[in-house]
Amino acid sequence: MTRRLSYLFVSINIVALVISIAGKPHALPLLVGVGLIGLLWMAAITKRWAWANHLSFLGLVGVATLAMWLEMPTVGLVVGAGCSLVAWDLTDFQRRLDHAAQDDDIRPIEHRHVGLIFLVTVAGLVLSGLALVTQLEISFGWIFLAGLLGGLGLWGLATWVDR
Amino acid sequence: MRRSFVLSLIIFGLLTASLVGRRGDLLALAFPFVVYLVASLLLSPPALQVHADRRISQERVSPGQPVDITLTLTNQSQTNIAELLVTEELPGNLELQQGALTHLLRLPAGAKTTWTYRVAGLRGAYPERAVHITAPDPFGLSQKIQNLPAPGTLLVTPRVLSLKSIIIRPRRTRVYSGLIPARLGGSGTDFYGVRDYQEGDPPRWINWRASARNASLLYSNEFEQERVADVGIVLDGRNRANLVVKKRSLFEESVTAAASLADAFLAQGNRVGLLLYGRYLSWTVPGYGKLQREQLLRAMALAQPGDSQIFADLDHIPTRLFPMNSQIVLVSPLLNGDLDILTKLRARGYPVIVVSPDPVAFELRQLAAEPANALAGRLLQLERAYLLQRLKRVGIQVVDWDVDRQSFDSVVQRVLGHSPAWLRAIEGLK
Repeated sequence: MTRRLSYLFVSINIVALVISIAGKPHALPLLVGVGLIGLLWMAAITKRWAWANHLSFLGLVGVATLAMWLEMPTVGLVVGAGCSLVAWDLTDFQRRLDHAAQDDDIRPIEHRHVGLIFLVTVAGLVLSGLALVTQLEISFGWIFLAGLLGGLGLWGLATWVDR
Repeated sequence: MRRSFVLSLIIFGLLTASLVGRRGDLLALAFPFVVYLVASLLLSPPALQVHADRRISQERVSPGQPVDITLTLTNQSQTNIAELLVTEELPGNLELQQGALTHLLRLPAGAKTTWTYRVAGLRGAYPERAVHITAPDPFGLSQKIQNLPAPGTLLVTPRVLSLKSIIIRPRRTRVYSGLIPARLGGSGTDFYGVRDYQEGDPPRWINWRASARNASLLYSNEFEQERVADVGIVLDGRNRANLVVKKRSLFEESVTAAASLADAFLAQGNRVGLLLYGRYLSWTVPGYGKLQREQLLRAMALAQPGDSQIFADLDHIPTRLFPMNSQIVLVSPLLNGDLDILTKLRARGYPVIVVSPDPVAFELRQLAAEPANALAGRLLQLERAYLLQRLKRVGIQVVDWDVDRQSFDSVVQRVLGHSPAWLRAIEGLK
């Protein structure tokens, strides 16, 4: 299940980035980069290359950042970055699962992990979305307090899921 | 590359870019990564309190005999361990036959988990090994690692061949009755001589023929007492003498021979000690019976060949360890320089038996059948035959053993199954 989800999220990531980038100025080099890195990532998942997983993650997040810097549509880039995070996490999780013996029951571990990563990513994306929509001008102190409360809330939520 | 580093790099890069470009959207892009990092830190597992228990189906086995090892892990803490990677390592000479050494599992608070795997291995002692456990946080950015002590020592003793009776005739025997003729008159089975009749002698001991020649005296038969003896086995562990060809060591054959001989001598009731002569001297104090057999097998399970400048020659065999005139059995492939020390031992009154696995035949059989190899082999065989001949001339019993062609028990039976030639000659004179 985990490997299939990794492929899925790499694909969604690529699609989201391509939709955001295509047709904009300077799109071609970025699209080529997205394609090549996407292929490398697929190979990393298949061949279990840890280094390529990290490199692809850095590469696609870098492309999303660059595209955002060039003021391309934000929503697809944020979604792409979120999917990169999920794909990177699941690929590494699959590497950990490979240590399991044949008769180990890994399904509960898999379900819990997938649930948590979705929850965390959705929380992160919601926060990103809120930040992009509201664009409040607030002081550093308020930002710090909000971050602290957000972290504590997330902890409580994740602990509840873990139980 | 560590995952936490990769994630930190991305967050740092996005924050820097947002500050440099004064772009709030780049900061927003960093949020999913920050949330992921914070969640990982907050959900990292507490200190592990796991207990490991290892059960071994048989703690003492023969080489190649399968052993089932059962490992039980108990989570003694009040918190669930969501993901626990358990790893065990096998020493080089043990082989996994069934099951797995690495497991990934979930261990709720207070719960136990058990699994079994099967191993088999070569001679050796395998002391208890720690179980490595790793509990990562949910996203694998950090992990808690522990090595759990898990008791359970496995001993793979050397192969012991069943040998038929080995006849030895040391000059000195011990006081306890056994199977070795003691050159002393008394109760026994073999006729030893005639002496004056003494009160209490059973009537069937009276030698009527001798008594008939004298009108006033009676004579009784005397029988040769049979007693146990001291046997010192010297196992030659010098690397120089023990060849290793294609990962097969001649030392293993020597150990098998020493173990089989020790077993046979102990079965006859003798007191047997063992000296491992190699990198250092390892001495197993002489003793009798089954307990001593276990101690000797344990010592031989641990025996490894080695090199030492001091013990390069057999000159440093500590003869004081062996009682005067006791039987010495040297198990060694032999080197040319060993003749002198063996001659000295014999001259001091020790009856010596040399059991020598043939290193020339052993090596030659592993080499390509080329004329040069064959010629070199012949030369070495001549040299060895000359050495063995000289040993025999000084009264040493030699068991020349071609390990690939001859079974050890048949060779021993042929050479040591009857009295030595020098004794037979004396008995013939009698």
